[in-house]
Amino acid sequence: MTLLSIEHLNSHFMTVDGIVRAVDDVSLEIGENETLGLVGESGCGKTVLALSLLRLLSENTKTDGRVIYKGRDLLKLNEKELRGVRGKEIAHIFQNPLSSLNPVLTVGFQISEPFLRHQGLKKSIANSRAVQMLGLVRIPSAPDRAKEYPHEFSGGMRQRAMIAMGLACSPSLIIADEPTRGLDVTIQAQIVELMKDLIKNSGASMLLITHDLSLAAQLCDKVAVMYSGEIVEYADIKEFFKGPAHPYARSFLESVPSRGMKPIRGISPSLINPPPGCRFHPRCDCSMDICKSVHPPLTEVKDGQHARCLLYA
Amino acid sequence: MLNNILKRLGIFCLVLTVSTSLVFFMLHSLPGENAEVMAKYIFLGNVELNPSNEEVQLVKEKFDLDRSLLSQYYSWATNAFHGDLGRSYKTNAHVLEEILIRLPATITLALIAVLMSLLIGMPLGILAAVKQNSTTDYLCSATAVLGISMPNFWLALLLIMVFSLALKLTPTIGYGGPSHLILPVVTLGTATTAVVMRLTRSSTLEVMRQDYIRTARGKGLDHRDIMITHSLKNALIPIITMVGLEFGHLLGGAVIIETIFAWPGIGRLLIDSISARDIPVIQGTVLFITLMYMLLNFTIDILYPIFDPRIGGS
Amino acid sequence: MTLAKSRNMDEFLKNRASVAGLIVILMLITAAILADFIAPYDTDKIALKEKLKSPSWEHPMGTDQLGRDVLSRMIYGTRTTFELSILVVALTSTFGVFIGIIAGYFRGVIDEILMRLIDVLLAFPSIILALVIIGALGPGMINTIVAISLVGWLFYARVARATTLSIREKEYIEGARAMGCSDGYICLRYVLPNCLPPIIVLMTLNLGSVILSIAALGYLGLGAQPPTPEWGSMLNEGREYLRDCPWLCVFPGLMIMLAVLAFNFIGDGLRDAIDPRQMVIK
Repeated sequence: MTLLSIEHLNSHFMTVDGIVRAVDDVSLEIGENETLGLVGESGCGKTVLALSLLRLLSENTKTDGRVIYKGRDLLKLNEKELRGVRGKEIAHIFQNPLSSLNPVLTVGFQISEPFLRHQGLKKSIANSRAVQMLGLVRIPSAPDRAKEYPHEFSGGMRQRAMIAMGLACSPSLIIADEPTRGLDVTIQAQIVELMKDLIKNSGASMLLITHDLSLAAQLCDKVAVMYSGEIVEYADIKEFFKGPAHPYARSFLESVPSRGMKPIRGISPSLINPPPGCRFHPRCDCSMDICKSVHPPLTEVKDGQHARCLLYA
Repeated sequence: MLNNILKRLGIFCLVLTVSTSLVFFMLHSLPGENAEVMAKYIFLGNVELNPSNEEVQLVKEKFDLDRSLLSQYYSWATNAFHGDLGRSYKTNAHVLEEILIRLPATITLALIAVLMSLLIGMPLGILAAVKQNSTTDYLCSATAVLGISMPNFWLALLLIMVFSLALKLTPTIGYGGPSHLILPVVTLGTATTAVVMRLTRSSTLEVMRQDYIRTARGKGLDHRDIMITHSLKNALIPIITMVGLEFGHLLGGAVIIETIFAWPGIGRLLIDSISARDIPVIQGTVLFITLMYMLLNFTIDILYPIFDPRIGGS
Repeated sequence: MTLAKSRNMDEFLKNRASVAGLIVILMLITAAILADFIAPYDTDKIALKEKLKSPSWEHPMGTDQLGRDVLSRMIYGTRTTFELSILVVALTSTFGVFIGIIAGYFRGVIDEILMRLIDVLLAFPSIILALVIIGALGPGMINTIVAISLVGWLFYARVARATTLSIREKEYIEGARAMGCSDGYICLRYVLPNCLPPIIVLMTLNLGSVILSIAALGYLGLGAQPPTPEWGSMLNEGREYLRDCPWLCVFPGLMIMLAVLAFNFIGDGLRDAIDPRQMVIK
């Protein structure tokens, strides 16, 4: 069963230098009880894609396409209907917890807000539920910690608090943006374990956004690779790690430390003026003449594995 | 927390000592001047006439004015510490008493003006920020620039012209019931209101750009909750700091406005004493104006952690 | 560098309020310079028969209690105000930038003293400090300049010091030092040009507030003394006739506001055109 399907999604925004096409004709599906990993280099449009789903981008962004969640197009809901979805049906765990938590409100209050808003609980009850949530994400002496402010938390604890906030109303879909970024390796491992458990117990689906393939390997069922605003590969996680089809996905996998840390030559293309034809061709080792002019479609390479490359067209 | 208060208290005393001595030295910087002014009052009873050399010399000896400035300041400070600010050259009244009689009038005026600027400036600033780049926003900004550029003494005269002389709605000048307060408060509060409005607008806009506002939207909170719970508390922090600093300008403005409206506060006392070269009164009023300004800022510093938990906590 | 400059210029010229401010100031300065030619009457020609006349073709702004033409006095008042305020800003900015750069560049004792001085002097409202100085020196135009200047330079010193601090660690300063440039040369050729943009913005905004202070002191009868034509003291003289001759108060106040408003518009425009992030003004 499909829980969320993204169809031909575009997100563009105006800057002084031109139109940035951060998300360009992206279609993806997330099934119930499924975790999809969206991977790619920084600046490829992953975060913008995630923010487009709940329309959390600033007002100068133009988003079109369809985001169908349980039969409703999220892009067509009015503000009020959308507020009913945000935090209740679909939760967003933002990157960079330090700036994403309000510095002048206690952590406990910030976690209790979804309860107050969506379940109409009384303040005291919402508060004790927030403490429960903090316990669930394994923060020791949660009742005391709930009264503290974000700056009194360590980096790992702030990330846990963000997760607790996302899980508060038992959403059906969690969008987690770089949940392990900037954390020590040991803390990262703890967060991964925690997320694994929570996903398994809650039965929620998840869209995991990361540049860290090893994290995707541990948490995801499927993986989509994004490059220059487009999906260039979409596959089952096992198939993907057996052998990525797209040359970029292959290079990306080889750039991981455990796999030789081989850098990809060249620089990421601009999202304002992407190269014509295949957007990866200037950096690609398998580039052919035709790649310079023809923009490849996303084609099925083998069972369930898709790639946007003229080698398979 | 206690440590912080003690540290602030130390700085407070230091600044007070340095600033009073600075004022003292400035007022006594012209050699012989002080004695001459005193002699004018003692022997001639009028600041316009010139005393003879013998008379000046007599005053110098009597009041021991040939001592070094430092020792003169020391005696002034010791006396001041014991509540004795000396006597007015002109009226021979106790300076402290003169000031204490007038202090409530000034405090009333200043506090109500601050209150007015917050109650009007903050909502308008938030409105301008929420409706950024709309006509409302431009209108607010234009009014604010006008409010800042308008000389307060001129505003006072215009208000008197319109509301007292033409419409006869308010008393012209003087001190009495609440109706006497209207024009002075409006005059004094206008510039501060404009400053508060501008700062509220810019700090609200700054806060609205922050990641945690996006988090709040992601939780499904509505606009009102986001503004009140998440934005206002953050936007308030720079406003509180600014109100403390702006209070200085306000006290400066009060000096002029009290003179215009014949408001019996210490600002008017200061101007009168400057015209009369009544040095002990000048020194005393400046001490109290500085004290008021510093006390407010001291209080704000102490209360700061309530508004910003990142500061001064454990 | 030239490209960046022309971009700033374009940015500034796009701001309509700033351009309007600039035009107003240029007109006022022209009036001040050409006062002898454009003022219709002598400023201190007393004609008691003509006193307190309301505005007419003969006297567009009316006459005052001594029968003097208000328009002529306003034009000469522009001269007084601009002379005084430009003098104050020139004095304070030069001295303040000099001290600020020295303090920021060499740090040490000078810096320490400057910072404490700023702490203490800014603990007073600046108009109060000016009043104290006038209290010590007595009323008058020169004393007004001294009183305003004695406080005013601190703002320049603070901005120049902050800018200097931020660039003294830059690589090109290290480079210049390594090449054997003297400290004086580095301050003049590297540090000073970098301080100028924020200082110019500060000067513009400061001109507005200096004009206000001069007018305020004039109004209190502590600044320019009659019969010198000065906007603030003209207001003060006109105050007694508020009920019957409002023009005596309306026009001088309007001029003060116009000049201050114009400088504020120019300053805001300049600040937006130059990098807004580096500004450290109150």
